[in-house]
Amino acid sequence: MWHSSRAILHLDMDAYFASVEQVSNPFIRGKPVIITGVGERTIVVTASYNARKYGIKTGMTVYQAKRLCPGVIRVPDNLEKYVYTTLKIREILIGFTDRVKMYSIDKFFMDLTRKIKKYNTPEDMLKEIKLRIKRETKLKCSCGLAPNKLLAKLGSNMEKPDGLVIIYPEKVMDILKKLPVDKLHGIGKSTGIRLRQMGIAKASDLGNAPPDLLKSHFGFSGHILRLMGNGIDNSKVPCYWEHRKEKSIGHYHTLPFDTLDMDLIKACILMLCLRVTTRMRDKKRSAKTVALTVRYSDFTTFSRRKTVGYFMETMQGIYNICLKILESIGELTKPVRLLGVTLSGLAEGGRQLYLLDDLEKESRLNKAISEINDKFGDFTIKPASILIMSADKRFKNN
Amino acid sequence: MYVLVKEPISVVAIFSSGKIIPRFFIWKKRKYSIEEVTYLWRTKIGSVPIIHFSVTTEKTFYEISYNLKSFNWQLEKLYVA
Ligand SMILES: [Mg+2]
Repeated sequence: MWHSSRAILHLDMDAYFASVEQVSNPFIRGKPVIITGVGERTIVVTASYNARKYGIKTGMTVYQAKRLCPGVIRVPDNLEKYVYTTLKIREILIGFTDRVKMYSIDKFFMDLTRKIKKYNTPEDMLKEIKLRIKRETKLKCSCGLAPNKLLAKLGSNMEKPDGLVIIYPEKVMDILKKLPVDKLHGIGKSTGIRLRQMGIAKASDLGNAPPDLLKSHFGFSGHILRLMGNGIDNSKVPCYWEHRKEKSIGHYHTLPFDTLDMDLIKACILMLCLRVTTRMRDKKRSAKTVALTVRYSDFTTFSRRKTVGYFMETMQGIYNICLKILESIGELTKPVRLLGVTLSGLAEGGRQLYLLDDLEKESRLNKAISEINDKFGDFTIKPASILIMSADKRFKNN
Repeated sequence: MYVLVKEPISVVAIFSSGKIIPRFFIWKKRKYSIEEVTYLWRTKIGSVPIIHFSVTTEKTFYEISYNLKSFNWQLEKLYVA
């Protein structure tokens, strides 16, 4: 039985893009596979578990991966295929509860509080969810069930692949005592280092740290950090259909460092396009106007917009317009610090031409690709943010 | 190795009960029998829906696509071991 006031599930698809490709192509199943960007100078976005055995990791260059495993099979990524699959998975999850939040392209939160009681044990419900996903998509995932999102996320990371971890409320404190502080979701590398310098090594140390000490180092965030150290997270999992009405949909991203590297700038724009497109779809909209915002290292900021004669619905279409805008800007005069993509001229829905399947399902699928958790911001769009992080690494190594 | 092809093909497919099942295709005057449709997903170009199929023949993997406006089929890519 589940005795906590809430039952939150975090579900993380295993080696997602690589698995999708292996399901698609029987000739590469069971083999070391890497998903990469297109082009020569690109990096590993996802590695299959077989490739990971050779030490291949996300963020490596293709060259490095091939040196570790000469026979590794390289698959150029196909984001729209993965997005479509994500929506299918979401559809399956909605069959269990309305309280489903897409956290990133391969991760979901679910609030199972009211549903889990119908099962003999929490395991039974989790097994059924995993089985349904497996049956309908042939894909595996790792799940963590806990009293809140923070701990559920932690649980899903504890056993991979195909994991099923349940963190019972009475076990939380034991886990936090052993858990390195930077394993808490939301505590990044640099915060982790700062905490260690303060003598805070384990999550429970953070939970027991004097509030004033944390406040003096981290300001208001100190309060949140302390809650995290105690395994407390009161954030909710909203229903999948909850969203706001907006006149424009925009998103901005500050680069990890100021740069003139066009590969990196384009990767960032792609990430922003994916993000705004998914939000647009979530709202069942299409857009006629795209604006690209550029901020230089000296904080000079400008936007250029382009309106097309039709309503755009795909990420690729929006990205192509952004590239045209970028071209029209000409040579960038200073290193870029921040980029933004905004969609406006929004229309309800799009002209649907589907001949097949039931329309209802299709529109539900398209409706909400990713309800992005604003709290955690830019971790959410995986492929491109990885491109950026790895570009960051490459930059520092050079 | 994945090879990008992007060439038009002729396809014989079954359209039934809201589904499309490609059975064989003709590319460069050769016929390829499809053994299995292993994956399906949809995209759009502008407002035109495209259905993509991953398919296998006896020896090879292909991705083909169907444009729901022009009714044209295209061989997108193939995989050679
Ligand atoms: Mg994953």
